[in-house]
Amino acid sequence: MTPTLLAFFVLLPVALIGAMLPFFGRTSRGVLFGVTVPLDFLTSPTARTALQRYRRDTILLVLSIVAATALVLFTAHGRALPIATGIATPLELLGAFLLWLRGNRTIKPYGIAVPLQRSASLSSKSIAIPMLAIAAAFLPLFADALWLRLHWSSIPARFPQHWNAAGKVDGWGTRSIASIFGPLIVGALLLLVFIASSYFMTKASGPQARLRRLALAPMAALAWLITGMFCIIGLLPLRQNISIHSILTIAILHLLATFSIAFWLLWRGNMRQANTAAEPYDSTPDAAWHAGGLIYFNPSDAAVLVPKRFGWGWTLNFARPVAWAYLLGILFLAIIAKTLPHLLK
Amino acid sequence: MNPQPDITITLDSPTPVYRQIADALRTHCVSGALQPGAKLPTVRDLAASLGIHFNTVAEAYRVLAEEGWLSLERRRGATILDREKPRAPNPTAQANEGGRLHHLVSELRAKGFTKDWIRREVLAALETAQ
Repeated sequence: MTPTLLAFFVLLPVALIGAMLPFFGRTSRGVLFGVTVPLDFLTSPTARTALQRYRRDTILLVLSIVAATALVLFTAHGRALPIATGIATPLELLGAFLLWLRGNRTIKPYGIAVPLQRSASLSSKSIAIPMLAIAAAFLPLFADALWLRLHWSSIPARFPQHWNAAGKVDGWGTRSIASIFGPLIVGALLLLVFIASSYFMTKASGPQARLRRLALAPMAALAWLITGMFCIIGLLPLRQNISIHSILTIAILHLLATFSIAFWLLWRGNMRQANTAAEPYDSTPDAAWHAGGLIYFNPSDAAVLVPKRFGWGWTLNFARPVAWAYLLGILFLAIIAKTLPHLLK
Repeated sequence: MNPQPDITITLDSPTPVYRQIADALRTHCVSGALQPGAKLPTVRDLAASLGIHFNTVAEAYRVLAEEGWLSLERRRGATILDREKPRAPNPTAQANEGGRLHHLVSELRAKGFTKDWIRREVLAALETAQ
């Protein structure tokens, strides 16, 4: 792989995540830098200045990190790859969080205690979870496994399984159960995590009760992304002459197709969402947020997932035992995925 | 069929949350927004949507079931009942409820609400109730 192409693959996620960070100042309605403020305060000079300062500094931070990463990649080539990929994004997130905390300190004196109102529909209809669409994502993995089993004799005794940054094969698999079925089993475990996440998204409260409908369809699309990726990896032993470029092209096309579907579903959901009334305020009390707005702990909130204060999406309510069970479950699956090849040998 | 109405609760209100839910549901039943036969969300679903404890919703449903508004069945959830017209209240009940109303009006007056406002609100409440 050429250094330019390599740099592109490393810089793309760093730049994409960096592009989101300037928008983290205001994440929920009536909440600025994690502080609940009066709605008219959001247009005040203090609020505007704090937001502008955060945006400006975050953009500068992201640009500097992207430039520094590019410089390291082009001067040190493949050797710097693990350092560049491992450090750039965490550094971006940490920097943005510190800038966000500065905003939080500025806004804190203007925080108000709003009546903690929550609304819910009295409809008995459960939220339609595209569980079937998510569960159906297991089928291609099973089909893949079956195909591999039927063509077992066509699988060479040794086949390329891992490529280095320069596109050269640096890892070989053998015709064993661990090498052949391992990727498919890891894919299936990841799907299980997805199903658990989708289930908890239906147990979210407040404003996100509506947002969860919006997010579940793209979750199904992402489940298919995982399946597709692991199916491609799973079939590699049968296509030993395939080049790394062809694999990457297929993977990128698949990624683009899935993300297009996910965005289309989000956009479609957004249109429906526009017709529903907005919640008066973020439904989580400021006092229940800890570590500068990163951790939510509220024993009197039945919701497992709540909207994040720093960043988009949801975070866990750590006062709920099921949240810990979810985290431990993920950890357990990760350990299984890591030790499975050794167990199968 | 009419869409099911919404319910709004205030977590930091002096009125207990279970009482707010019971009051809101009763109001919807009396106004006809919730028709007999209408199914309510399960205790767990409503609790999760409102971000409150399951027992709070269960308590509200129990209060309404005792009043004869709801039928609670395991697995089938809560259903609004076609409640029989209540008999004319006896003099003791009338005296009790009359006293409660008087206390409420005095409390509102003490808080600075005008007579006009109270009259308007009481009439509006009577209008809403079928």
